[in-house]
Amino acid sequence: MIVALVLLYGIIYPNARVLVAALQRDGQWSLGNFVEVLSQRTIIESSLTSIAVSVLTVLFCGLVGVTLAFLFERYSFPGRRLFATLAALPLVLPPLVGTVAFIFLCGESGILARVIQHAFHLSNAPWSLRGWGALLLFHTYTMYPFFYVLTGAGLQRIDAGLAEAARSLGASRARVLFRVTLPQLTPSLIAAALLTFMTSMASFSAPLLFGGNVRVLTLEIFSARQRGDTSVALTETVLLTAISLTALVFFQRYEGTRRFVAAAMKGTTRRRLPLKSGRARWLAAIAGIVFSVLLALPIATLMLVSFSRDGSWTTQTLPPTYTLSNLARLATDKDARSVFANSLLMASMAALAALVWSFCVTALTVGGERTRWKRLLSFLVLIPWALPGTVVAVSIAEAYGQPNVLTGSFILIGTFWILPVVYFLRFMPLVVRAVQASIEQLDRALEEAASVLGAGWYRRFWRVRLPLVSPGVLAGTLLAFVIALGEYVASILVFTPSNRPVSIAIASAMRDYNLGTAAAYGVILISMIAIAMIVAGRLERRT
Amino acid sequence: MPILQLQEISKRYGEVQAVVGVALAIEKGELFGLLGPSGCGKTTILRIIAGLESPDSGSVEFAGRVITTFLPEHRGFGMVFQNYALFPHLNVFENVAFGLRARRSGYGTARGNERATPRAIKEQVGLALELVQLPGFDKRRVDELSGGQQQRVAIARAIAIEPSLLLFDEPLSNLDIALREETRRELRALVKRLNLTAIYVTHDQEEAFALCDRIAVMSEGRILQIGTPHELYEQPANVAIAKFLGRYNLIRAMRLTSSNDPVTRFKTLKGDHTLVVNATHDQLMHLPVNKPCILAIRPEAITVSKHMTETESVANNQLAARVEQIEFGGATTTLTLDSNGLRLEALLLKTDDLEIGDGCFVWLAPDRIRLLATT
Repeated sequence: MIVALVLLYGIIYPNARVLVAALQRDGQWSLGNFVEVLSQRTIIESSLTSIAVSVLTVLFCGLVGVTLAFLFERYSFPGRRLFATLAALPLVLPPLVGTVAFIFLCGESGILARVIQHAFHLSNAPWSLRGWGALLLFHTYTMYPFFYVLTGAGLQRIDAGLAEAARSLGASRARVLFRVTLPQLTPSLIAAALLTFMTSMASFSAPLLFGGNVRVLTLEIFSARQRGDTSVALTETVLLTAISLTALVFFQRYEGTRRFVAAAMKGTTRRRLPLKSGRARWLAAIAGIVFSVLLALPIATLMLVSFSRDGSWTTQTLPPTYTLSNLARLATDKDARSVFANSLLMASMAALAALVWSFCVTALTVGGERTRWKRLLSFLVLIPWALPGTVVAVSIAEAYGQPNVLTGSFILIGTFWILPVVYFLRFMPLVVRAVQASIEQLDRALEEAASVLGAGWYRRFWRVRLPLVSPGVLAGTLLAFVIALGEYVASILVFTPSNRPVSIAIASAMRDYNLGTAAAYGVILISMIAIAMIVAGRLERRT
Repeated sequence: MPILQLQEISKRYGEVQAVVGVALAIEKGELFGLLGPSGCGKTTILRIIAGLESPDSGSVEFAGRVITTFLPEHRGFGMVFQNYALFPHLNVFENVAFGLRARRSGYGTARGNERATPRAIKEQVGLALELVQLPGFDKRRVDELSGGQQQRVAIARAIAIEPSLLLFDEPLSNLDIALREETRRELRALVKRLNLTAIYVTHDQEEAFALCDRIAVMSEGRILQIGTPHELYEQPANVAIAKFLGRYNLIRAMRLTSSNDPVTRFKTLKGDHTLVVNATHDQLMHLPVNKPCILAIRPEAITVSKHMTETESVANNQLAARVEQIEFGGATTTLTLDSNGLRLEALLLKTDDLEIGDGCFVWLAPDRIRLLATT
């Protein structure tokens, strides 16, 4: 019942509403909006740009991520574990914070540019962090972990006996890689490509801050809304949704044809090859250090800048004066404190609601026979995950911006509640998936045993199911919480003064050129996220 | 009056008919086996009795009450699962106490009414752990235990609640052979000592024979035959059961004489031998002359000797044969013999110095040959 209501209000109605609005013109059904939008060259171009950026991002991320995964999974060398963990780091960096850090580091007035400028006595910055190169560099930096993590997991699952069998049949190493290992990795690679593609399609902060003349769809939607051109914004939203969903369907169909079931009952576990020769070890260690420095540099830069006095850093290589006042001010200032309180409160509300909601959904979808209804339900629940944040925000704003049949005279937009609602919708699929995975892994015999021993459903839930799934579920909930904490893409479209989240504060500090303040916000946000992730890691290890 | 009665139980999963019209009656204090190959529906029946599945049709009656629609938690039975299903987040004590606590807060069924105090629970758990020879294991984590110990905890958890019926779902299949044989002896002793009524599901014929008082042999969702282990071994109802329960020499033959005299002559289709068989009047009634049928004899019922035996008692059914294969199995040896095209297996304690290629004589005792229906 609750599930149906939330689905109706949260997913079906807003999206249907957007579609209807896009198809209507002055109260008449028409394809006019599409004709108009599609006849504008900029929109066609921005769609193609979005797709091109995403495809290139997938390629670069695949290259980096898969190489790293092979390196860390197949070989052991000093410091491997540390680097393996570090490599997944960008995954939890909020996109906006990452963008800001990147600007400080590599922007045309950033540290690296200045270092080179001073070293070679150039009159101008050696490069500008604008356009395709910058965008792809940043996308690769933030999204390669999808490939890295999923390929790594895939490699762990592969039965090493298969590669051994191929070698014993006379296949060369290269042949084994291309004919045995990679085909088996296909499901992981496809999943990673899908995630990367969707994230890149939805990417907003990076194109906004240093996309330069690269106009992507998310930006177009944002500026159309800023201009007040609702019908264009909605039509573009439908376009973006269509591209995203097409990609989803395409990838999933392909994934379905390439799923391998291990034929062997008992696999050989692969052991990592130790790098024995001195030179290889040195090389690996140095590569590791360089790599981790590269990964840590943006964050280190952010920390450095957070200690700089606002407005003092102009043409110097490094900020000239340092102060604790930024951090101190954020800790004491009422306005800044309320920003953090807002983010924490809204993210926790969204995460908790998602948690409860996930148990409701899984109660309906997990167990028993697979029916068409269950599949439809699972699909509907996962929709917001496939939609760019911009789309979710626009559809909710459109659906609840004025009185209507479903909500009566209640208007959601402009109230505090809009952001928690949007966060919930955007990130609840993450929690649902975590809960679903945990419950599916749960041995059904355990609850049956409890039942035969005389425990009713209430006792079974509290004493058996909940304690057993809680580690995985909490980890999923924390992840949703963490991501909601730094959310920017949807927030910027619908925030109000009463619920200004951290990301908006960062963005406005950047606009006012209060670099130190912006960085300080970022540092505190990252610290919160780090704490949450450490807690999540602890929880997961307990299982 | 049987304590548990199943009537016309049927259950299908999608296209698969898991159980078809099964009827069972189990007496109080009986250790009853459900035996059959995997996928024959035996576990489904057990789960229907436990209440974990509901039958599409038919009824379950326990102690004079129809319990078909009762929830599992209201039935008051104990169950030992194949993978033990111990709660990984609870220690041994808490696992065994789970049922006692659930019942305390639970409904008015079974022994739920008498309030179990913490002390009473402690006592009960201690007792149960002692019965399975794991005293003092209370505080151990479940995943620290060996497979055999986990198995004992699972049994302790099931008997701690003093179940009115104990259900076993292949509880020994995850143990290695030596431990399995030891555990099944203890299990039978335990069930008998506590005077419990129990149903034991297994696909292992030896295990079922060693453990159970009576066994129902199942195949493709149906019960083929119910009987004591001895009855099933000696008088299998048909070829399928004979094949499933140990080794048999199955000989296709035709009836020669038309009189319904219990001592009847048959001609084997292979080897062209004439065999004398003791058959019952009933069996012969349904078997026309010159129609093929199947004669069955256990390998251990065949006598093999190097020389022809001249005594009158073995005048019939003595066939000349040649040794084809010798398979040494420790205490016993299996000979594969060829008698003019008829292949026979004989299980011997001593081989009489026979070697491959040697000629010999086999004797098939008429009263050990069974006449089997082909279906």
